[in-house]
Amino acid sequence: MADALPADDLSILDEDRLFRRVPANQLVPGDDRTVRPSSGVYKTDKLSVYAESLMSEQKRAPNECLKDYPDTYLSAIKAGSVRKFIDCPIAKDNAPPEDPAHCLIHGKKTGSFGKAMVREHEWVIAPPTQD
Amino acid sequence: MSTSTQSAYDSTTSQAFSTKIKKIGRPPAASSADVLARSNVLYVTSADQPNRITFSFGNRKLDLYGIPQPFDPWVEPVMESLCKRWGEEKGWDSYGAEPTSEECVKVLLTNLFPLMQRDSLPPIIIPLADGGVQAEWHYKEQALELAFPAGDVPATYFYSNDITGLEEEDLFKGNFGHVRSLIESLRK
Repeated sequence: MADALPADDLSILDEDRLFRRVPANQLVPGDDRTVRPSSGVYKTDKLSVYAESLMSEQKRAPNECLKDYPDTYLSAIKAGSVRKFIDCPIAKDNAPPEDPAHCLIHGKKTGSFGKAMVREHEWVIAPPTQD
Repeated sequence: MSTSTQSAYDSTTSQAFSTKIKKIGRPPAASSADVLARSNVLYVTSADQPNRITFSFGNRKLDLYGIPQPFDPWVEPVMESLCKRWGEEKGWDSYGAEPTSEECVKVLLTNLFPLMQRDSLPPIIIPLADGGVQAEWHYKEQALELAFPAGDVPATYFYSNDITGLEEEDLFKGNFGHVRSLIESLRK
């Protein structure tokens, strides 16, 4: 039996950016010689993200998400984009390793969810484009 | 996918995921061995089990059965994608992802051979956080994903067409012929 989903944490506002590291082996070609995340990045039942508002409260810059992870890039999705999928609530996560900005996007992730996240994501720290 | 874009992502992934190729020893007499040049994947057929092909790369060997030879052109880029993108260790995605499951890869490849035709567009192979794998095709405004998650979670496909707005998702089981026709449609 699947775990019950937590309540959506509405203290995380729709316009809040949620940061997610993307490793190089989950990049795929995008338009105009760019690369973008694969939908596979978002296909996990407990999707770890860092809320920008909570990081700001701690005076942490977005690029701190990449500290200790040099071979990853930083993507952002809006909380409001996630909330279009009602079965994917956003909740703060206090489990170790504790990070007050760490949140989880719960719920089964469909192909539509992955496609929407890929379409609406923006790079905060992008992979290099190639000539 | 343009050649330059393909090389862009190849370059990005190869920087971080260079694969150490392990050459296996001389095959038994009456067996044959060859290397897929682009990916350096060694494959061996054995005389005692002619139905079996062993793909060897890194520190792993994948035994597949009933694979037709000679290989179609899509096999080489698929194996290259698999080699470069394999999730080697737990946490490869920086969030605790499981290592890529050899079993999931075998299931994916075993299904790909009868799904694909000689001139089919080769998919990109993406590791999933649970240890599963996903094959992705992108062609103009269309996309097809065939996901083989780890454990008991069934395989699914997802197709989208940005021009028509169509999105469909279902279990792979029971839709083999449909998925095959979708793959076929990606090269027209």
